[in-house]
Amino acid sequence: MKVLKKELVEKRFSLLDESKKLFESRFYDAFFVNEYGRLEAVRSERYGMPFSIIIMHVDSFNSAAGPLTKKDLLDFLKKLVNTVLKVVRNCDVTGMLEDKRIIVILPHTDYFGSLITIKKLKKGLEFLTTKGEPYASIIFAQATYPRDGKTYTEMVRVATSRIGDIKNSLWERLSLGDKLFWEIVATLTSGSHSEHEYVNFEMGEGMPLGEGFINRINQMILHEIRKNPKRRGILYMGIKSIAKDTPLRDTLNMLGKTATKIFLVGEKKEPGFDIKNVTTIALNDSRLSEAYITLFMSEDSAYGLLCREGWQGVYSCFHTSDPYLVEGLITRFQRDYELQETF
Amino acid sequence: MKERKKEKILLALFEKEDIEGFSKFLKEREFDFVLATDGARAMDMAINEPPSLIIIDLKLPVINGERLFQILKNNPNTSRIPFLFISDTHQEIRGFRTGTDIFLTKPFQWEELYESVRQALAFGREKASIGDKDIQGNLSQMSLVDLLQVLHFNKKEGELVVTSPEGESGIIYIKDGQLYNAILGEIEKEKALFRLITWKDGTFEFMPKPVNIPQRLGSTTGNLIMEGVRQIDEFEKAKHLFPDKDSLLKTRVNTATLPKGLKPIIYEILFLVEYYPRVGDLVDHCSFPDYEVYTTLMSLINRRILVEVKRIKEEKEFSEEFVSPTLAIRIKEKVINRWADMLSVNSGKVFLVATSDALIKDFILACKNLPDFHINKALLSSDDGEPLLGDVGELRLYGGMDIVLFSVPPVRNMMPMLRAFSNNLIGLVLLWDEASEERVAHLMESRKEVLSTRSVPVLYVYGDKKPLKSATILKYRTLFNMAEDETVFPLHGKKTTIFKLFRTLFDSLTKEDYIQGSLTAT
Repeated sequence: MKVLKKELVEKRFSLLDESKKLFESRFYDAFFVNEYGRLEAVRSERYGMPFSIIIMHVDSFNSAAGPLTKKDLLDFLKKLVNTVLKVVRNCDVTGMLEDKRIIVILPHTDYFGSLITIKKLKKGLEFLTTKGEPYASIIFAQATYPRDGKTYTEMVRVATSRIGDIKNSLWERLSLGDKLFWEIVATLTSGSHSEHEYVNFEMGEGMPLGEGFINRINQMILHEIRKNPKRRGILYMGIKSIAKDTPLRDTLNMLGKTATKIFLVGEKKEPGFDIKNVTTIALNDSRLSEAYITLFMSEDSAYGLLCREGWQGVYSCFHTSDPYLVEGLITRFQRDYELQETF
Repeated sequence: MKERKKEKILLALFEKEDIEGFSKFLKEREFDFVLATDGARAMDMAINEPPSLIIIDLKLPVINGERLFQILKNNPNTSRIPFLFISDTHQEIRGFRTGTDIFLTKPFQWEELYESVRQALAFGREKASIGDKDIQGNLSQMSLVDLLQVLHFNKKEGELVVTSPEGESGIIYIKDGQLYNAILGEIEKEKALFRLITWKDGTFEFMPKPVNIPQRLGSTTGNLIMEGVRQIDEFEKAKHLFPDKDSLLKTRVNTATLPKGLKPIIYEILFLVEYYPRVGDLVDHCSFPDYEVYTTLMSLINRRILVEVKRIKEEKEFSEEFVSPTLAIRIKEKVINRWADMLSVNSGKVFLVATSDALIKDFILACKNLPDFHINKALLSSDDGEPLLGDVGELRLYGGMDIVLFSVPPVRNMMPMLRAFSNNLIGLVLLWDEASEERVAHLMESRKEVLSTRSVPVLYVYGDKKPLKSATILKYRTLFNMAEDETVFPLHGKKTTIFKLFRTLFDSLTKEDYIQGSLTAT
């Protein structure tokens, strides 16, 4: 181990000498980050701590000014790297994984911690991904030890395969990131998806599933949270009105302390209605009184349900188990209503 | 409201807009607060009169928010004050106490701020009210009733663990001297408390610690103790009138058409009789205290709503060695090896997909006599007409491993649900009968969906009451395209069928390379 460490240190400093011309000294080459990642996996196993990696894949460039020169690309890369280094913590290790791919190793960071870093990176890089010239399409994929793999190599493989999953996600395919929350709800609930992860169905009077089925789903999710109170997660339940007679009240009261952040949102809130460990938010938006929204993400599950009231008590619903879509919906919901962008 | 007035909030802000906004917000909600516009002034005020909460801007002049936090956190007089940080961007704060301090980034909803203030004040109250010394002793020297009264008068908060000479343990949660809940094995609330009060021997240990569970005992400590003692006395006087523990009961009414407005205990007993006809089992599984269950049973028997069909000797349909400790540990080890996430290893999920809800109920009924099997009464007895969704039963194995039976509705378009909640999946049970045979296609769709993401054993259960003939078996084997080593289990066959079904599941888990695959997540 000592020899390896010495080699790493030497390599690191020799790299710094060469890369000083282009990048900040905290940006490393593939050899260094991969060796560091392997050591981080050993450390995490030894101390029973999680750690995460984020792979940023530059998918494509879009330029109104025509083909890009080598200098354009180098300038772009410099801006990208410098911004990433500003966003991540000092203890995080950033480097080139391979062509078009940058990796960030996040010590002591769990799944949700890595999602927050991705949020920060996306925000910090907005000037390159949406407003820049040229602007780039960047895909952020992550993997966390130990949930996604017990070795660094396994984690890189999982994160790399997720780049493909993200590109195939409905979030990317329908460019939902450019839409407002209720536009997304309208797009998804009026679709006719019947893929494995995306399904539309109708619910209400005269249907095999009645309106009460929403309550069944919400109760089931709360039960899952109650069974694993230490597992981190986030749940938004959009119910028509936050009132004492909500059928969820008893289950919510029984929850106790949980690592899942639970938000009950509605158009209005009955005065004096409070449930310990649950944040109730009245958003004063009449669209909430005509819809049901359930958005749930935990360390090992993702489920999103959107239902919009139509004619004669029939709801058009869409549900999904795609974590990228659920995450996108949660982020869009938080932004549009100026809620805390948290996980 | 009184509580809020006692609690003072220190508002350490300097931007005019923030000061106006926060002052208005706190005034509207009747919080008592004081204002400091720089870090030095805020430190002075916090040390002279420690507030219940500090709402602080990280960019505070003179001494910034983070620095002030470090100073006050290290001062013994102010170390317990929770901080609510306000900032434009998310920032790492050294020493941030998760569960005590809160971080809010701008912009935020005032509703969210209110919830955060409420939470932070609650954390502060918990910390302030807790001492740190244990109380230990023997029940033969101090009865549980006396001990509870002492803890009540001293307004203690913590967990009281009571252990019988046989090693059985119960916990009573106490907060501010009030009894919040009691747990004894699988039972809780008044039933557990009253059973614990009957213990004359054993040890107790009170551990002061924050109690974060909701209050499940709905009366004052004094009333609970008096009621418990009364019920125990009454039980002793009347026990010769009650039905024998080994008697079998049968209901003479249709439980689906019971009138509304009866006592909740009656609905629960009539529901449970179907699953637990033996008096002793029914009393154990009913959530009401034992004395109330026995008196209600007597009343129902006297009114001929329930009848005693026969008395039986202690008879187990299944051997105690249904799952031996060795097998239970092997199952647990197998599951641990399959999942990297250590939080997941306490339970394994088995999906039940049936062509009708009635089959799910029949299956649970057939499982009820398995050792340590528990039924989710709330879900199975709900009458909202919606399909069953979620945990319908649970089998507890030696070593703290639960096998959870999770019902998935037999309707189309539930694929995302199958994927989203298949974490810890260790098996799939498909149930059908002749009457609902046209829906078998749903079962096949579900099987395909589950197996596309998880490699788990599939068990086939035929729910028809007619005997399962070889021609029928062949028909379904072909229909489901079953492998040679897979079996069709008749649900209404011999009572040992369920035993065999679970043994097949466990044998597959421990022998084969099952339970692979993982969810794709960002």
